[in-house]
This record gives sequence, C-alpha cells and structure tokens, in this order.
Amino acid sequence: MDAYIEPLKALAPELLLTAAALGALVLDLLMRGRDSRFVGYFTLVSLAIVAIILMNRIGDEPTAAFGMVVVDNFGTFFKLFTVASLAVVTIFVLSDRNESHHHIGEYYFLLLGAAIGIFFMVSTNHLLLLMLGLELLSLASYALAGFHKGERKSAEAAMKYVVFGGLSAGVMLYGISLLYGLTGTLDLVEMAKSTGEAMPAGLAGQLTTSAVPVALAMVLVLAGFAYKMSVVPFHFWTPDVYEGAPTPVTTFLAVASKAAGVAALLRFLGALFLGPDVQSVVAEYGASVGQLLAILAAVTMTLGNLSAMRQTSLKRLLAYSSIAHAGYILIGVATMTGAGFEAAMFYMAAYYFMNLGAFGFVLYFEGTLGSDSIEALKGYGFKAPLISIAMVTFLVSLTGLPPTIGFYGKYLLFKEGLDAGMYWLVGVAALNSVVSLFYYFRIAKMLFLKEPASGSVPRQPLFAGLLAVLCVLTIYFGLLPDAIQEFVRNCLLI
Amino acid sequence: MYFDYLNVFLFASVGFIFVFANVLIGSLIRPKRKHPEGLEVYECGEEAIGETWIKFDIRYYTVALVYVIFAVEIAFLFPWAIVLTDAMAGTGAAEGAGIGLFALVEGLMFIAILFLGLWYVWAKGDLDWVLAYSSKEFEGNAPGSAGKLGQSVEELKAASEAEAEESDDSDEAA
Amino acid sequence: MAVVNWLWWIPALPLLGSVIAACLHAWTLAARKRAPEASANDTDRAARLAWPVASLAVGLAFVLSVVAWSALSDLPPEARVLESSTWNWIDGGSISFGISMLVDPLSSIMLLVICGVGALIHIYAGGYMADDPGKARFFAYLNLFVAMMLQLVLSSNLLGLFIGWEGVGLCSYLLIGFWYEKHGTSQAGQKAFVVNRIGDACFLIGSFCLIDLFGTLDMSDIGAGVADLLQSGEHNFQISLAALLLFGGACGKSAQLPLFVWLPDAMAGPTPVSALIHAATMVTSGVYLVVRLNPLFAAAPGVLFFMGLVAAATAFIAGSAAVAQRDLKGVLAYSTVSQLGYMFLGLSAGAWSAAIFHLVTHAFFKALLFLAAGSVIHGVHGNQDMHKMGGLRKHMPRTAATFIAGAAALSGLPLLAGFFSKDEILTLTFARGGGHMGLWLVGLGVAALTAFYSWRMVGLVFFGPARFDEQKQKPHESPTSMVLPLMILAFLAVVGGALNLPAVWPFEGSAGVLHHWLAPVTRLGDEILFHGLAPHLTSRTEYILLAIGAGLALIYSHKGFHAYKHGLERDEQFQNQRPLLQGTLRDAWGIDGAYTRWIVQPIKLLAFCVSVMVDKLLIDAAVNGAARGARALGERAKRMGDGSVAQTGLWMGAAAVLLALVWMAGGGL
Repeated sequence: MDAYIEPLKALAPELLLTAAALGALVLDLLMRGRDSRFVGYFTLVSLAIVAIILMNRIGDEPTAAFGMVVVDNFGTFFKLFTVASLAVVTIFVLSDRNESHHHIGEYYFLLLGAAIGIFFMVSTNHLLLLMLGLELLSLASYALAGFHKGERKSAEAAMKYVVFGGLSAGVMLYGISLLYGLTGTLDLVEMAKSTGEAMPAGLAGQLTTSAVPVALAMVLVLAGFAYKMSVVPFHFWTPDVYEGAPTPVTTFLAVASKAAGVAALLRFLGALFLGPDVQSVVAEYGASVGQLLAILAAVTMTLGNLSAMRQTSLKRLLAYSSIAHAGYILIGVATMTGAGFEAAMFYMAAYYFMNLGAFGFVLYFEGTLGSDSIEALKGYGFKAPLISIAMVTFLVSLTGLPPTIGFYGKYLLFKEGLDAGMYWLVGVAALNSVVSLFYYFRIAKMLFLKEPASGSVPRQPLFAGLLAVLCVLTIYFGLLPDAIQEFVRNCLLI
Repeated sequence: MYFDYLNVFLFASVGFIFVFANVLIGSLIRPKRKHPEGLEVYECGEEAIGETWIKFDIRYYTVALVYVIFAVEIAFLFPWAIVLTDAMAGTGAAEGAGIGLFALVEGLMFIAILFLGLWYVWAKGDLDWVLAYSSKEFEGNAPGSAGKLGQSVEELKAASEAEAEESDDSDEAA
Repeated sequence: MAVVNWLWWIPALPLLGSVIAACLHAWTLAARKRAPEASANDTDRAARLAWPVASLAVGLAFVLSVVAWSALSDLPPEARVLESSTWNWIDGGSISFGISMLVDPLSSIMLLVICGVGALIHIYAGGYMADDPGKARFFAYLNLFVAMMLQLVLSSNLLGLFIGWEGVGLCSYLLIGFWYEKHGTSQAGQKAFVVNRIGDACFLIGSFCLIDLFGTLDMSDIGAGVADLLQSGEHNFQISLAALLLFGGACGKSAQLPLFVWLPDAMAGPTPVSALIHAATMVTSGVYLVVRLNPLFAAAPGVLFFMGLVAAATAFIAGSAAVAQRDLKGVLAYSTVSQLGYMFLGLSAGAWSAAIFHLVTHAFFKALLFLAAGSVIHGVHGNQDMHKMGGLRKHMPRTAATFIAGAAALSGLPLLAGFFSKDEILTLTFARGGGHMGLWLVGLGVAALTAFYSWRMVGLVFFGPARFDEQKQKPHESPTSMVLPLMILAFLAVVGGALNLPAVWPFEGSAGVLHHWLAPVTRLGDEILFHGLAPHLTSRTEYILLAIGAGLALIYSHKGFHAYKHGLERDEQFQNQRPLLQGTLRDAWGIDGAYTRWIVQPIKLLAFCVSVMVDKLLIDAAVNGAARGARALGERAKRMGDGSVAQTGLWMGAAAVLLALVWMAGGGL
C-alpha cells in the first residue's frame, strides 16, 4: 500500500489545494445567506499552509511521482509564485467594491481550481499531464472571466476566451500528437533522448532526414503556450478578456496564468533541448527554435506597445502592456541558455510585484470611481496620493527604469540577449521600452499633472497598505535584487 | 523519401472522397419534390414554430452537464466495483498489488466529491425548473449589483413576490 | 554586544531624527492647512518638538561615538580597526560592492568632531531658529546632513563614501536655499550644487581609475594595492591620474581653487548651517578623503606638490579677500577657504595628522566664530554689515567674550588651539624642504593676514562707536541655549591645542597625542612618501619656527585690532586711496566674475543655440515625427484587435502561418 501512499506525499500541495477548493465550496453552502468573505479568509489560510510546505521544499533533491509528476525546485518556484499571486488576488477579491460578497464561494473555488491546474502544468515532463493541467487552468479561467455573467462585457470576455482557448488547445493537441507520432512517447525527456534506431524514428532520427514535421509540431505546440502567455499572434483574446473580466480575475490571468504559460514553455524547451541526455542533433535544433521565439518576441513586444498607446481604458492598456511584457520575457527564453531562462524567471518575479501593484491600483480606482477610463484618472493623485504614488512606482518599474525591480529584470534580459548575440532583438526591445514610456507616463501625467475633478474618494486603508507594501518591495528589490536572484538561482531548471 | 506519409495521404483522400461522393450521389439520385413540409426542420408530424436559430434555455445545458457528470461517474465506478472484491482480498487481478484499502478509500472519496457536486448543484437551484430568470436580473448589473445572479431560487421567488406586492401597493395608491 | 554590531546606529540615529522631524513638519503643515486662521502658537506645536528630537538624536550619536572611541583605544595600536560585516549590495560579477562600516583612529576622530560639534550646533540652532515657521524642516535637513556626513566618514569603501559625499552635497544645497523665498538664496544653493558637480565628476572618474587599477573601491585594499604596484614599479601614471582626479573632487567639496567660488555665496543659509556644514564638517571632507587615501597620494608626489601650489594660492587669495569684506559672514567664509588651504598645504607636505589636527581645531574655533557671529546677527536683527555695527561688547558681553576667544584662536595667538595646529603645518611644510620652502613662506604671509583680519573683525564689531541707531535697534544678548554652546566651543578653542602639542613641548609624553593616535592610519602613506626617513628638525629650529609664528600672530593681531578699534577710518582710507586694490580684494581677485564672463555666459549662449537649432529643429522634429508615426501605427494595431471573433480568428491563423513561414525561410528547417 505504501507504494501508493508514498508518492502522494510528493503531491501534498496539490492535494491540499484540492481539499481547500472543495472546502471553499462547502463552506459557502454551509454559510447560507451570509457574507462570503469568510470563504476568502479560509482561502488565504489554506494558501499560507501550502506556501509553507512549498518553502520547505526549496533546495530538496528532485523526486518523481506516478511516473508523470516531477517535483523539483523549478516547479516549486512557480508554485510559490502561483500561491503568492493567488493570495494577493484573493485579497483583491475581498476588497473589490464591485463585488457583492454574497454567495460567491465559487469565486474562490475556481481560483483554487485554476491553481491546481497550474500546479500540475509546471511540475511535469509529460505532455499529457501538461495538457490536462493547462485545460484545468483554462476551464477555471473561462468561468472566472465570465463570473459576472449578467454583465455584457464579462460574458463577451468569457465567450471569446473559450473560443480562442479551444482553438489553440486544439492546435496544441495536434502538435503534441505529431510529436507522439514521431517519437512514440509523450515524455519530453524520453523524446529528447530517442535515438532514431528503432521505429518510430524519434526526434533525432527525424531531424536527420527532414525537419519539416518537427518544425510543424513545434509551431503547433508553441501556439498553445503562446496563447497562455498572450504572445502575438495568439493574443487577440487578451484585451477583451482583461477588460471584461472582473479585475481580480484579470489580475490572476495577467500574473499567475501567464507565469504558468512561461513555466510550461521553459519546461518544454528545457527538457527537450537543453537537458543532460539530449541528442546533439536535437540540441542544435533548439537554437533554431530560439530563432522562432526571437521573431515572436520582437513582434509581440512591438505590437503590444504600439496598441497600448491609443487605449482609453486602463485595463485594456494594461492588457496590451502585459502582451508587450510577454515579448520581453521571450527574449530570455529565445536565448536557449540556462542564463537566459534564469533572466526570464527573474523577470517573472519582477513582473509579479509591478503588475499586481498596477492591477491593484486599477481595482482601487474602479472601486472608488466606478470607471476604468484613463480620462477619469485626472487629478486622482491629489485625491488618493498614497496609492497614486505607488502606481507611479509600478509604472516606472514597468517601463524598466531604475531604481525599481523592473529595471534590473530588463537589464538581465537585455544582457542575456546580448550575450547570446541577438543584437537586433535587444535593439528592438530597447526601442520598445522608449515607446512604452510614452503611454505609461501618460497615466502618471493624468494622475498628477491634471487638475482634479471635485469630490473625494472613499478610502480602503488596508488595501492601500497592501499596494504600499508592493510599492516598497518594487523599489527594495530594485536596489537589492540579490535576494530574489539568489532565490531564482536555487530554482533553476538547468 | 516521404513514402511513409503515403498511407496518411491515401487515408485522408479516401475520407474526403467518401464524404463528397455521397453528397454528390445523393443530390443526383434523390427525387426533387418541393413541399413546404419537406423543408421543415423537424418533420415528425409536429408543427414547427419559428426559426431554428433560437436561443435555447441555458438550463438544458445545465441539466445535460449534470447528467454527463453522473454518467461518467457510473462509467468509472463499474470497473472499480467489479475489481474491488479482488483488490481487498489481494487475489485475482490485484494479486500482489497491495492496493486493498487504498482502492476502497480512493473510490469512496471519488464518490464523495461527486456527491458534493450534486449537493452544490441542488443547493444552487440548478435542478429546479420552476422559475425563469427575468430579464430584469440580467440588466440589473451595474457595478455593485452583480450579486443578484448568485441568489438562490427561493430568494428570487421571494424577491419577485415582493415586487408584485409593491406594484399592487402602487396601483392602490394611484 | 560587540561594538561593531551597533556601529550602524551612529548614522541611523540622526537619520531617524530626520524622518521624525520631517513627519513633524508635515504634521505642522497639515495643522496650518486645517486652521488657516489660527495663530502659529497653536498650529506649530508639533514643530517645536523637532528641536529636542533632533538634538537628542545627534547627542546620542555623540555618546555612541565616544563609546566607539573608547572601545578603539582599548585595543593595541596596530589592531585599532572595527569593521562591521559586509552586506553585499551590488554584485557585479568581477566587482562587487558591500555596505560596511569602518571605525579606525581617523574615522573615530571625525565621528567625535561631527557628533560633538554637531550636537552643540543643534542646541544652538534651537534658539536661533525659534521664530522660524519652517524649523521642523530645518532640523529634518540638519539631521539628514549629520547622518550623511557620518555615512561619509564611516564607509569603508569609496562607493559608500560617495553616497555620503553626494548626500551632504544635497543637504548643503537644501540648507543654503532654506529661506528660498529670500532673493538670491536659491541661486546660491544652485551655484553650490553645480560647482560641486564639477568636483564630483572628477571624484567619480577618479574612482573609475581606481577600479581599473585595483578592481576594488575598498580603501584598505586600495592602500595595499598601491604598495604592491609601487613594488612592481608600473602604472605610476595611472596612480597620479587617479590621485589628481580625486583631489579635483576634494577641491569641489573643500572649496579650493578653482572651485571655491560657491562657499562665500553659501553664507546665504542660516548661520548654524554655515557653522556646521560650511566650516566645521562638510567642507573638510576633502581633507578627510586625502588622509583616508594617503598611500595613494603619497605614491603621487607630483600631485602632492601641485596640491601644495593650489592650497597656497587658495589660502592667500581667500585670506587677502577676507581683509576687504564688509559682511561679517563673508569674512568668515573667506577665512574658512583660507584655512582649508592650510590643511591642504599640510597634506601636500605629507603632514597627514597635522592636517587632521588643524581640521579639528578649526572645527572648534570656526564653528564658534560662526555661531558667535550668528548670535551677533541675531542680536542686531539680521544685519550682517560690520560697518553698521561697532561697540557691541556692551550689549552682548558673553557673545563678545566667546567671539574674541575664537578670533584669538583663529589668528594663532600663542598657546591657543589655532597656534599649535597652524604651527604644526608650517613646521612640517618647512621640514619637507625643496619647493615646499616657497609654500611655507606663503603660509607665513597668510598667517599674518589671518591675524590681521581676525582682529579687524573684533575691532569693527565689538569696539568703537556704535554705527547704528541704538535707540531704535536695541541690540540684545542671545538666550542661554545659544550662549552655552558658544562657551563650550570657546573652551575647546582655547585648550584644543593640547590634542597635539609640538615635539619640543617640555613635558614628557604629552606631545603629539593625535599624531600617535593616527599613526596606524598614516603609516603606509608615510612609508611610501618618506621611505622611512621622515624629515626631522632640530629642537632649536623648531623653537625658532614657533617663535616666528607667535611673533607674526602677535604683531598682526595688534595691528589689525588697533587699526579698527576706533572706527572705520582705515577702511575708508583704503577704499579712497586704493580703490582698485580694494575692489580686487573684495571680489576675491575677480575669479567669480571671470567665471561668469568666460564660462557661464558662453555656455548660456551655447545652450541657447543648441536649444533652438538642435533641440527644436532637429531632435524635436525627429521625436515628434517618430511619436506621430508610432501613434498612427498604434491606431492601426488597436483597430486590428477590436474585430469580431471570426475576423480575429482569421488574423490569428494568418499571422501564425506568416510567422512560421518567416522562421522556416530564415533557417528553421
């Protein structure tokens, strides 16, 4: 019996999350007619417990469970990332003034369910489990995006998300089936190892005869990841969904869900092209895939930044900004080196602080003024100075200016890009940063350089405090990035 | 060189040809008699009303979904129930696997979770077919009122009754 | 707890005080905004707390400094180093910087001076700023300054030092322009800031040179690195370059030629600021820097001699300018520049400890003079013109007594602090021989000037007939909180010389205390500069030199006092008979004017040309064009994302295929 129970220990965080998700549902049913905030607190406590378990795992030797799940530091990093962002998102939900807080236990249930999906997505080398995790995340996200089902925009968001999501999932599955057909396995490590002496030919064998099927498979599989990360041209859902979904959900999609996409992509590429037992032909082909990613990176950041410029809704603007940031992250991925992956992971950590902060501001702002249009921001800095200053900090960080963590993250990405010889890409990225300055500072200008409309805004001191903490951390880790860098280094894939 | 893919090609071609050939042959040999009834969508004697492109009530899907979940449950539980005796005793197909109690507990947990789902669906009123959402609830979704959608059926009933009384009151006042 | 573990409290306390004072200021402002009609008495309650808080913070820092000093003196001389563990700040691969604190004999002396004099000036400022509406802001700046100054002297590497260096520069700027409503103060602050930037640029480039040479900015490593390089006999030029650039930085901060022009203008700030920042502490940080890096400078004797030339010229020009000033604080400002010249003169002769000695005594008597001058200005309601004072000793006897003690110490009357420290520098410059003999002569001349202008000040301010309407102005003595620090400083200015008595002092073991205390720090520099053969003078020569110094001081003090104790005749005479010379001296040899004409105005012209030709026509056009283009593209891109599901799906597919094709064409196959 131990043979069945022992691996379950490796899955302790996932099991706990599942229990927490079901618990959230039951709690809400039990507390009939009362405030659902209690479920939120319950969620926070469960997340804290999961986080403690995960923290204790950092630095352990990798283990495996049930032949599909890999428990390693890389996965733990992204699990912690997910838990940490989910905790903040939960606080966002709790402080959301547009939410009724009445019988919305499903909200927390869905968030936790999505987290379970992410957990499996980031801790497997097996394409089947990866796909299942991805689908679990997607299903929960669809429901979350349409959570305010009576609102037109929310419903539209959910619909678009489902349609594009289904399309890209199908495309990705087709790619996976091609890979399976070529190698006879769904395990990425096995795939990279397969020599081509037997039938099926294996990746190496296929590459020696013709790369066309492999290239096709790559494009198709990458489409799935690109969708989750909102990389051009699979980004079309992003602005509509970000705008329509409730803001905490948008935050979740922009931070945790995107990180899951990055993690899965890193794992996929790392296991397939950069692992220890990879066939040399396959490893060489990795550089070529890096080229494709570099093209995607350039197109993504350019289109994201250009589209962000003329937006009138703050949430749409941040949606395009998050597309652009996916492009920046891809620079690190496209280098196809361990150091590049490290830079991408660091940037995700930086992204955590500044984007949670920015979306938190949107939520605060929406809650107090009932609109998310940039025009309405006029003079908001004089009405709510603390969070507006915090917002400016996040904007500075998003632009990538010192002394914020965004600067250091971008610096690392650019450095790795240059080290890998992708000068043109880094050039494009630098130009993009300049363009982004334009629209980020339009917000700052609205906040502080315009005369405010009359009237005051209601205060949410605790929520503002959370934003202030994020703001301080953005600067603190910008000045002292060592702590995070050390943490990332402990959690490298390669 | 690409000979390996020839069978794929053949398979795909035969598939296409089969479909299109059937459609083509059908259109060639079927009698072309145009009655209005023949153009009906649903021709089992019932009079059809309105267009086919109508909005179905969402509850069809809800119920269908719930049904599917329990159908799948059965599909999982039959094999489990059949081998459970062997597993507990450590005989037959499960000899030496040592799965025994673990299998039982896991199966029970599976059932428990499904029942949790049933409870949820029930409590949320998705199994009731009584009350229709009035369009008012859909439109009343300015920020701050989203909670209406989460109301249980009883509450909705109570709300609509209260509303009716209110309108009576106003009539009287008028 | 080991001393090293709480060293960081020393700068942290004033920093904390600064934050609290800033909060009090914010509070006061809020109170004023809430009740615009209420009297200052009601609204400024919080601001009145700033003084005790700020003074207490610096006082506590002083206590800690004393404890650190005593812990240091318990150690054997060669082991007198307390270094707090390094906290890695920037890890840049081949080079990394930590934040760590170092207390050795040199920094312990600086700590005592900064915190001690700083505390006294804080106490004094309570009375001086009592009626100022912005006093909480003032104390926030002042405490921040102390914290930054402590960071400057405590850092064990040049980067940390530079943080403090820039921090004190910022505080100096803020405090010079403290009364920003008053005409000219903010310009003076800007001038100080801009002139200091030139020095700071030199400092930075010098630091880069050092990184290039040694791969580190840790000061003890630099010393060791210099010794190693000298062994191998290479890189002499680079060492000299680095030393020269760092001296350039010191020139900016310590107001030496050609960058001294900001200091006289800096007197626009409140007088306690002039005393603390522009006399006692910040302006001496250049001296501190040179002593701290003494092996580096010792390895560049050419730079040292150049430093001597600059110092002698500065001392002379500023000293002579002080003679012709009418503004009381102006005299003191030029006097400070001149005395700083003395310190650098000592450094150029390798007299590290003598320079520090003069730094310490100068901190005592110049802080005293500034504070007493502030007391005078306070007493005569803001008048600074000495020609409109006179006879004030009757009205403010205690201020007069302390001011005279300070002037006596400054002029180097025998047995007072200034006498010993100035003499030490002159003696060691003389002993260095060679080209330094000429510098020594200049030094003697400046000593005579110093004595003269010091007593001219005393005569004009406190003696002679009152040149103002006594009935109307009613000069008054300052409150005790202001006079008490004056008395303590006067005491120190009188006996401060005991710190480092000359070698010929008759009592055994009492001579050269400071010199021996600093020996572990200056040992390496001495070895490099003198190769173990420090210049030595016979007792007789030393006695003669002491006698010359004492004689000069006495004669010129007498001359200065007697020429001015009756009134303005001498100044009027001078102005009428030699208007050209008087004007030249008054404007400090026209250096400031020359800068305006030959540097500032051409740059302004150039800036104007650039702003019109390059900026408007070239860059703005390009940027606006690019922005317009990007905006148009953005409009396109935005529209692309706004379509229906089917349309966007089509876009998606088409783009994916296109990208895949691009990739495949580019070598993906």
